[in-house]
Amino acid sequence: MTALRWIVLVGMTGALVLFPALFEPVLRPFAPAGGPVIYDRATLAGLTASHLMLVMLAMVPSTLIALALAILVTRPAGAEFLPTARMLANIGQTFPPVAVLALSVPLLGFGTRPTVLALFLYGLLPIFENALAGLRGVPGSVLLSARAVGMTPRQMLVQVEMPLALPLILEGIRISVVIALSTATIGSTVAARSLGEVIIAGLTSNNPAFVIQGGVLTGCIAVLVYDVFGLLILAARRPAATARIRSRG
Amino acid sequence: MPRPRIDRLSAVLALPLLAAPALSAFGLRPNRIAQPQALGWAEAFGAPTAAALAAGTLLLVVALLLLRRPGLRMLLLAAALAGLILMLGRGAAILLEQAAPAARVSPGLGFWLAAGVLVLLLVDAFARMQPGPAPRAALLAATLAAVAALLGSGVLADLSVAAEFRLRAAAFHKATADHLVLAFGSFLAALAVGLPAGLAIQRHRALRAPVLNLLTLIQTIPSIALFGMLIVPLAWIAAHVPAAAEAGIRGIGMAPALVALFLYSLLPIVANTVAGVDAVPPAVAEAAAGMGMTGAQRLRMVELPLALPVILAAARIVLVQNIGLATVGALIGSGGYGTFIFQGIGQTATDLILLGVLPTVALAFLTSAVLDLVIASFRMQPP
Amino acid sequence: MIEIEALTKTYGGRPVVDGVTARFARGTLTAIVGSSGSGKTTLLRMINRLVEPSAGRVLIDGKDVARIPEVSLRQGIGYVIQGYGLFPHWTAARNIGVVPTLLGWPRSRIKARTQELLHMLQLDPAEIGPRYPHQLSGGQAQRIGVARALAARPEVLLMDEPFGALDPLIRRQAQRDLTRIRRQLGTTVVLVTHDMNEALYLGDAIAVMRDGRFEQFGPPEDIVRAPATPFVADLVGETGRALRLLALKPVGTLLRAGQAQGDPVDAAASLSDALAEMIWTGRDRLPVVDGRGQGLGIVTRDDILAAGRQAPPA
Repeated sequence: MTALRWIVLVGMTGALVLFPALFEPVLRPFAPAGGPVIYDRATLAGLTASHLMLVMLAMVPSTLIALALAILVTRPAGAEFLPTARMLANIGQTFPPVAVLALSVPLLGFGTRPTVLALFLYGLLPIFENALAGLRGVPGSVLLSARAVGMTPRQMLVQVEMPLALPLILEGIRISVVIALSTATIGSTVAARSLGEVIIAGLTSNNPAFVIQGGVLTGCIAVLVYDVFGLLILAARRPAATARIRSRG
Repeated sequence: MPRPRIDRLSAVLALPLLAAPALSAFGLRPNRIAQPQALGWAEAFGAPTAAALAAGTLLLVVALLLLRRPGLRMLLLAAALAGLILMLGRGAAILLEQAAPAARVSPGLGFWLAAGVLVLLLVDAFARMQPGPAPRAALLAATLAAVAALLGSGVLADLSVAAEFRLRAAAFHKATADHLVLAFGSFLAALAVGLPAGLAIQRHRALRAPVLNLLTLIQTIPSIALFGMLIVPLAWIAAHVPAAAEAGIRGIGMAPALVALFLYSLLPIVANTVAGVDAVPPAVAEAAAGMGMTGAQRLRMVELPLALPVILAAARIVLVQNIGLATVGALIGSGGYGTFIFQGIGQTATDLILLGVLPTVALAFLTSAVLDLVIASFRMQPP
Repeated sequence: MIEIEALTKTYGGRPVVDGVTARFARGTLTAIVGSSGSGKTTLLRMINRLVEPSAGRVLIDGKDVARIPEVSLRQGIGYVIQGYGLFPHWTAARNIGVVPTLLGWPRSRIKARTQELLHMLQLDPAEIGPRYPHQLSGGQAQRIGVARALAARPEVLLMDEPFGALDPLIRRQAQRDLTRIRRQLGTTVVLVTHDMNEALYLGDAIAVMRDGRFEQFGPPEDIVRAPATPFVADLVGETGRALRLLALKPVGTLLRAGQAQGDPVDAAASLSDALAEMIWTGRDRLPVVDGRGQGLGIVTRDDILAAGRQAPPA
């Protein structure tokens, strides 16, 4: 079942990106009579690469900063900011990604930059919230033991707290990345190069064939990325299982 | 506290707050889509008033560094924020008197920075009080009253975003109605389907993984993709089922957006229903069965009431998510506030974008705050 | 030796530990008994500075712990808590090796030490070593916790309800293991418990703690025979005190020359066990043997009964 899912996802994505012409017979009925069936204003491979690049550009700093903030407010020195940080995160969640994207345009103009800014800002919250939950979820007895065996605060963080919080941190990154993949699609309304271009082109030219191509491809990529994170989370959550895989391999 | 300490958050935020009066307070444009010209407080009110404002800001920063009682801080910050907004409105009026008829005034970077810092400090002061539901409800009511008074008073009527509103009052009300239908209608439909579905798969473990996996898969699909791809089947239905077409179902418009939001809503509702009922302590369920309750009685009298806070948490997630995602529906002609956002992006008219963004954020915030209060008051009740 | 001098900890003006002064001799096990909130855990944590004292000081072998850097102090003191606090993302072996790793021991030495400890605690290194904490039974996890505390050969071992999470049968075994290991290593142990029976069974000395103070501090016999306060008497229990007293002393302390019939009793067995054997088999004297079965003499019923009286026989 799982294997089938991987094969379908990877196969669909790969075929759509590399051999879009293969789908012409399937999509033909959806295209307007005499109109183009396969999107040809840019290669899907190029748009996919650009789409993923937008997400990467935003998510790397987003992850680093959100993690740093979560670590800060869970240290004794930053503890007084914790209630404020949580309330802000709670309020921040009510900002829709589209709003952040739209408001980035007046600041930065059209194109890649407002999109990356919006993805970056919106990505902070889920990662921060999950990292916070992960770091605060480390059992008290484990923290006590870590102090009692003579770990320095730094050793506690690196050797105990972060590894134990890792599954939840990855969960947060996964949520942010999935949202970012979706928001990057909308980024094409502010002239960022992404797969949203194909869908928007389909909507504006009344060509469902484009909408389906773009939609299926972005959907497949999102689910694929989601599943890859699923594997990472599984690996982080079950040290026993991965240790066995490693020794076997 | 043995010795007085300065407030650390205020110390961090002192610099942006002090810099704000020096930055542009207003953006003046000859017409609604021209590039704004940045103007300071001095351009509107004259140099002495601007200097007084800078001095006032300095005093405020000093007071914030030393004052540590959250209640006092909140009063001070609220007063400062009110003053800032009143000055914005007054300044806009002064600037417009001197400008051409088509000119527009918007808040500038300095205003946004100062307002942002003040709101942040307000949130901080409030968070430190560790407020229970009653003070939170009071603050929410006070904020609503203040916003209503502000909008009703016409203080901000000279701002460009207000001008955009006046140009589109009818469209705005239509958009509000559409947005509410999209967000709440899809939620109610998802509740009607998701709650029974959640209860069903809570009892039949074998169904859990497939159902939840499918719903997660749907949630993962980017919004435009799902909205767009639903056009195809709905257009087919409209073309082949006359009754559906008469009911207003078309390929584009409200129908695909409602269906997409409905699909997105299912996962939180179903998953939280399962989690909520799962969390009923086994001893309680056993006791209920032991005293002879039927399955239906157990559900109605024990399981649902105990699962209610978790289900309400799902309602909050879904509604906030729907209010945000409904804006995307504008791309397929569903109406709602997104219409203004995407029109604004197309015309590079910031104030039109704001006309879409501000009510969307306000609606999401209000919904979230009200549901948070409801959830908190349920949790406060003795079990 | 651990010396505690006028040790005090206050939280918000309220003393939790209130001017306690005591000495715990080298190589002994001191059991601190008290109900929850008595301050016993706080007292224990001030020894390895998990809690900093408000006043007073702690000396280990004459050195003030406040002058030793926290980290190296704790690396030199073993600590076992009720939930064991095993690191869930590390194998049992890596959990045991954590302090040696922090101390920078070479890998081979850590491995050898881990194996040695697993053997000492009667766990199979090949089987248990690679397991993760969630794959261990309660008894195994408890032993890993003890092994981790002992890994760097600490002079001092602090234990906070170390057997609290075990069911009664396994608890007995764990307590016996502790006694055995302690004899073997000569470690000074301070153990906190709410269970007077456990304290009487394990302790060379017992401190009864209430409201931040020691109500009584002395050898187990004194605690049972002459409770200093009604609270201590209450903890020991009004009934069956004589039998408890007898349970504390080995047969070897009442040895007489002579002959007796029937199965012999081990000199290390308690007087209460010997008395039970007499009642069961209808004898009034038993032959006593040492660990290797060598006859040492006899023990008589009258001597045992005298040893169980409230005042010691003149």
